[in-house]
Amino acid sequence: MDEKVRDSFADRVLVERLIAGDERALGELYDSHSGFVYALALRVIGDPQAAEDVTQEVFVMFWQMPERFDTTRGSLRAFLGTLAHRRAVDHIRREEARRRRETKSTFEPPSVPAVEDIALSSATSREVRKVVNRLPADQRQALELAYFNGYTYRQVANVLGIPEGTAKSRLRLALRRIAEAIYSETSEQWV
Amino acid sequence: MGMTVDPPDPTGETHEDTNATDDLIAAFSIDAVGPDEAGRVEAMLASSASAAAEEANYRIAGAEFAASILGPTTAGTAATGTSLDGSRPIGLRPDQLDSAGADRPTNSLDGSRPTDLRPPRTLRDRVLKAALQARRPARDLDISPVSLHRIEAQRLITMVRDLAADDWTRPMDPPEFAGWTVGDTFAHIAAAEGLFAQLLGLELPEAPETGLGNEERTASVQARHRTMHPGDAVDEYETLAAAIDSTVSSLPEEALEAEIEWWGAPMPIASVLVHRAFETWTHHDDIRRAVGLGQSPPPPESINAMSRQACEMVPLFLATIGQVYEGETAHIVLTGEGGGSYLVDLGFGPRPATEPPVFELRMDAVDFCRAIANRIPPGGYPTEIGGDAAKARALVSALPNLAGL
Repeated sequence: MDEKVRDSFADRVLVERLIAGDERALGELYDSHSGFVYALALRVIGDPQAAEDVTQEVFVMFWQMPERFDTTRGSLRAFLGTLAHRRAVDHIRREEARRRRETKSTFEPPSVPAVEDIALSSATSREVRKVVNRLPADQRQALELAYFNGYTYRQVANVLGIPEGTAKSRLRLALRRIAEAIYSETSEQWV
Repeated sequence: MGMTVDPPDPTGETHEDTNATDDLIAAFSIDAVGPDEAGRVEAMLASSASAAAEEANYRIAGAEFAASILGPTTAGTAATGTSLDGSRPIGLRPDQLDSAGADRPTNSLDGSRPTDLRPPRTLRDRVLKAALQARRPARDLDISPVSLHRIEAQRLITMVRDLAADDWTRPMDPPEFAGWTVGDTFAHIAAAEGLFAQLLGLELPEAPETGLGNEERTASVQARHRTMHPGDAVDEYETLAAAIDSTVSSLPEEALEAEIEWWGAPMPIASVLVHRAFETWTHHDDIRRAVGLGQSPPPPESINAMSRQACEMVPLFLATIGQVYEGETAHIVLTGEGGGSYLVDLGFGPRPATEPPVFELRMDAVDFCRAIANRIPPGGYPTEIGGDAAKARALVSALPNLAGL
């Protein structure tokens, strides 16, 4: 089996076991993917405690409803990543709203966590890495701001001083390039 | 809304200001729209499968993007907040932010800067504990071996009480039952049930001694039953099954793990109950076939319990063909009512901690049980196999080999 098929098979096996209520599978799920989920949450939120909360929410939710993951669409890592991202973004927007209500603080540029010594089990495929590394700088910049800072495309446009439509298009173009790389590796059709 | 592959656009700018809907879906997929637009996109996705599929593709792409950035090989670039060439921080000036983002705090709420993206060790326990408290693993199909046995005995009694007088003398299908009638098959069930009762300490004055082998014991009970009215034979069986049920029902759970000598091998009482239920079901369907009735599988709970126990016997099945795979596991997914998902050992030794299963075998749960009972031949039912097909096929070929032993 090639790597992609093996990963997909392993994902399927793990999810089937989770659906069957196999508690050991829950531990294996955590061991395989908590590095990515936590790192993503921390990267977006910047607060370790909140990142831990998000990580917990993601795994508890998945344990409760593992059947929501469609093994034919994307990897388990990607699915967990989207859960983590949504929750992390919700967190910072809630915090943002709270701060707006409570104080008027001076904006400071977001600090971003350093990632030295990071060891994540969820290495992405070579094709995807290649495409990400070759993304046009403006598209990648827009995507990083939206994804890792939790900005809306309007905020991205504001930050970069570009029209909102342009920011939106850059996001789409970048995502599409990556999606095409993912789907070029599988027999699945990009709809 | 299908995704079409546009001509190459090296700058990435040529499509800007076009595909407004696609753009919005893409932004939505990575949570980059405000609540007003999110509602609109959600409505769109709910009404268009192709839009929903497109959004899913973008969403997966976003997560894979994050994985590629956060992964070890590319970790140094974006995660440290520098531009592509590493020359400058990604542009974030306060005067560039709109009102929604102007009061965005530092990423770290207390202003400190996280230096390690690895989850703390303590988080594992916390997460697993919270998950296990949030949902007990599915136990909807739980059934005790005692209930399992009782249900199958009752199902058999109900069926045979409805048989016409001449049904009892109908021949069974060859070749499994050389010369047996329906009545003989029923006597065979009663013979094994009688042995079980005796091993549990019940007095059965008319039963053969416990040391007799299966064939002799069966022949003895068959001979006696042939002198009885079928209704009386059913009454006797019902009394026997009820006595067993009463005995095992009164035992504490741990006592069901006590072993008795079942056909020459020590086996916990709980397992014998499952075996008895399995054999009763199998012969129940044999009789139905002989009298022209359709098959009648047990309830899902019973299928689940029986197939689960059979999965624990996979090394034994493989041993019958001399192909045990020590240190390897497989994943068996049984579909349909009463199905389940099982990680099974392919050998008798310790299970490896990290190696993935070498194959996945997916088949219907009832077919699985019937294959083990040797009532359908290997290849006589659909299977899906992933991974090491040769080993999976070896297991499938070995499934009937313990029947009748």
